[in-house]
Amino acid sequence: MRRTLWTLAKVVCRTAARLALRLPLIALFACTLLSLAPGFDSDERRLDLRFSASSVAALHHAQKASRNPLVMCAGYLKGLARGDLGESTTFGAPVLGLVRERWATTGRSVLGGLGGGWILAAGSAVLVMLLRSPAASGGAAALTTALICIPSALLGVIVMLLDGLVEAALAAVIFPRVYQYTSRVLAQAAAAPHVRSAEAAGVTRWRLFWFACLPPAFPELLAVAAASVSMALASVVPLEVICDSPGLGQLAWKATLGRDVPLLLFVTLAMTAAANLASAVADLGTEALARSRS
Amino acid sequence: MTARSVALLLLAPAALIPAPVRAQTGSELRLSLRHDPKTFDPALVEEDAGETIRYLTGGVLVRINRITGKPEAGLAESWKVSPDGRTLQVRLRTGLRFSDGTPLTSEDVAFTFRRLLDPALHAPTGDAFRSSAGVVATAIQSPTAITVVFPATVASLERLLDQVAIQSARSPLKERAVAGPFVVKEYKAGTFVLLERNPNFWRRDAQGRRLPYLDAVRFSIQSNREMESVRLRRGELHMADRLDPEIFDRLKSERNLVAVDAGATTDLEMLWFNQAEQAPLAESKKAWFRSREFRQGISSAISRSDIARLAYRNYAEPASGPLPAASLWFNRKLRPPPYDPEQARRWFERAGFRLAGGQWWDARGNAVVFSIVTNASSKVHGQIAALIQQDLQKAGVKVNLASLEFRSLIERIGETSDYEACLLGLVNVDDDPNGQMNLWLSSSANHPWHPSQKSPATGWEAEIDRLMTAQASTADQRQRKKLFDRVQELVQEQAPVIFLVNPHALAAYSRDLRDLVPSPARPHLFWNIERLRLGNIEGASHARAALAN
Repeated sequence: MRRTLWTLAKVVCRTAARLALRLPLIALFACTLLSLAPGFDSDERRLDLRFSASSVAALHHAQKASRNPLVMCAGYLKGLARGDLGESTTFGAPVLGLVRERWATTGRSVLGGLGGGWILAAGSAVLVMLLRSPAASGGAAALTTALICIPSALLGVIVMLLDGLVEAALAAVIFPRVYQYTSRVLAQAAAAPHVRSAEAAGVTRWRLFWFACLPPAFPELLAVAAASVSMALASVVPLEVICDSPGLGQLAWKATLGRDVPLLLFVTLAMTAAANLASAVADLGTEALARSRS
Repeated sequence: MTARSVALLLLAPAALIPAPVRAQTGSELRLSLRHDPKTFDPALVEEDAGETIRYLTGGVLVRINRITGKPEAGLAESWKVSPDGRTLQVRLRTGLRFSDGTPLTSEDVAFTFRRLLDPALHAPTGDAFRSSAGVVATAIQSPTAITVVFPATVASLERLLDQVAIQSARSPLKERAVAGPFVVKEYKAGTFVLLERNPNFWRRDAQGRRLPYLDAVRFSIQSNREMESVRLRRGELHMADRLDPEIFDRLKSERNLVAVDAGATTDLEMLWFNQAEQAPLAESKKAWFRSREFRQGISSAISRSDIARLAYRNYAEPASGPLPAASLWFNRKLRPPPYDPEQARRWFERAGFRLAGGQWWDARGNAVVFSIVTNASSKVHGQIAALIQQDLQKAGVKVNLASLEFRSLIERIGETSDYEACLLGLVNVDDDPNGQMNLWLSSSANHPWHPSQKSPATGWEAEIDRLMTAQASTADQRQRKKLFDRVQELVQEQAPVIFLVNPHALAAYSRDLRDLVPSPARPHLFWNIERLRLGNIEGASHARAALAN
């Protein structure tokens, strides 16, 4: 018990240290990219014919922000340390409020997409392994290859036209990638000599899968699970935009178009933290598994 | 058995495909906004979504009828504008109340104008009233009578009142207390804006029933136009306007929808060349762009009817000037420049160019090649640019196209001047010439081809400045028309801007809607919102009759 707690503490500390190091660097990188972006301090309102010259000048003055990424980044992190996420220039509202309104939508989409994708992928991989049918494995391979070739944005359009949810499109993005890893890992485990001997001795495939194939594959599957979280977070942005789903991905897109520094930085950091936490959980699972075996 | 269990498990994600959602019945009108409104403060509104909400919630003294174009009494029972266009006398209706129940009096009108004309406000509605420096004076004669004196003549004062939503000076709800037909009930950023019926709206129908007929209006925030059309087809939305021609053609075949082409709008597609002194362009190119003959040659080489036919599927009119032919301010002598390659050749020759190997060359031996920048997010702009490229290619001028993300485009045309020619749409909120002051005045930051000039660079620009200033400082409509006619003639002679087409107002709406009268002016479909009804309600034609009266 004490050793398990010690392992947990180590993983938590390692993740916290990684985040403490990575987040400021990522913030600085994001600020650098933003400062180099064309139209960084332009304002659409300046094309509005109804504004007088003095109003256009006032708007321009108000919009003129520092293009020094170090200054931008330091200012943002200082505010963040005080718990101030800043105010969105695109929406004219506090970032915290915007995020609070939308995180649940994205959370639902990501969890639903990951859940759906994993059920399909793992289920197909297991089915293919149990059936050992060339038709099943060929069919699954063809389907996954086809889905991998379709850009996530196009999947979004298809789902939108079918009146589906972002979760469905996300599941379609996750499924082929996870399937390919999962089926390969399970096939390797099933090809081990002791598994073959057991099968020849009459042990059912289901028992073999459960007791001989899954345990050795588990650490790798955990790593794939962590990677699939990053995959889902990256794909949720275009999918929410196309399907008009009011989540953090859509917010990130609008923030990018509006060169909205506080909002964009927050979404970037939040997604980085989520991906890192997923990796940490996978690490923890792997270590716990290794300890239980030893 | 186990394989079957796994197969069942595989079917679980099918739950992610929901059952189709049908429209609810009842009197909630559902439509979409393309963006979140940036503010609900009517004085600060500056974008489409905010203007839509202001139109539906704001009580105005005078409302412009979108069909007749004439001013109609709103909160003001009567009003009078002085001949010099500086003084507005208003008599309010009695018993007016804001949505929160607080009384609406002259004091609120005075508060609204003082706030709107505060120079520190920097809002387009206020800027439209500020033709010169100075403060607005208000004299309250009684709770229902007020005189507002502006520092200088405000041309078309009555029309501008259509955009001034009277705000409460006393309500603790501030801008949430409104005097229009609806009131904002709920707003969820990125998702929806829900308006509910204002129980204190002043207007009643002929039977004495308080308007509006609808109980609520729900706007989904829907930036994806394809998605909007899909939802319209499914019956989840009741209407959509400013449709893309392609989507409009698709919706025409839907049985449950009425697709309507309300005619040419005041919006405009236009092309101009960068003539700014500070532009980082080769001197040879600057010389071409400043040459009237070059610009006229380009204008003659572009087929506007092809643009209307191919890019807009015939839902656009070739443009002759800054306003559509249906506008009262349009100069009737003008005609769209015809597509005439032969005339283009003559103009290029007059500009000193020579044709060799199917390509025009200037006097210094430079091939006549230039680039057009346009907005990447507009499919139609991409098509128009490609058509212009083809036309000019045939005429011996090579054009390179660059589609830029909108902010990058603004930076290029507004700040760095790093572009050669630009193709962009002009949104005329009102067809009054005053709405175009910042387009034509050489000192304006929005003077497209050469912004923010200290003094007019050319004689004709000085003349346009003089004419525009003169028309803005008189309230005599005939005189204004005469002055603006001359502006239009000068613009056609000099071609600093090549006007291409006026797109039509394309819209579609559910057959469940009653008494809807589409208009080419914004808002195209719900300008008479208080009289719109849903479903087969008795006396459905009543609103139409009242409208005619």
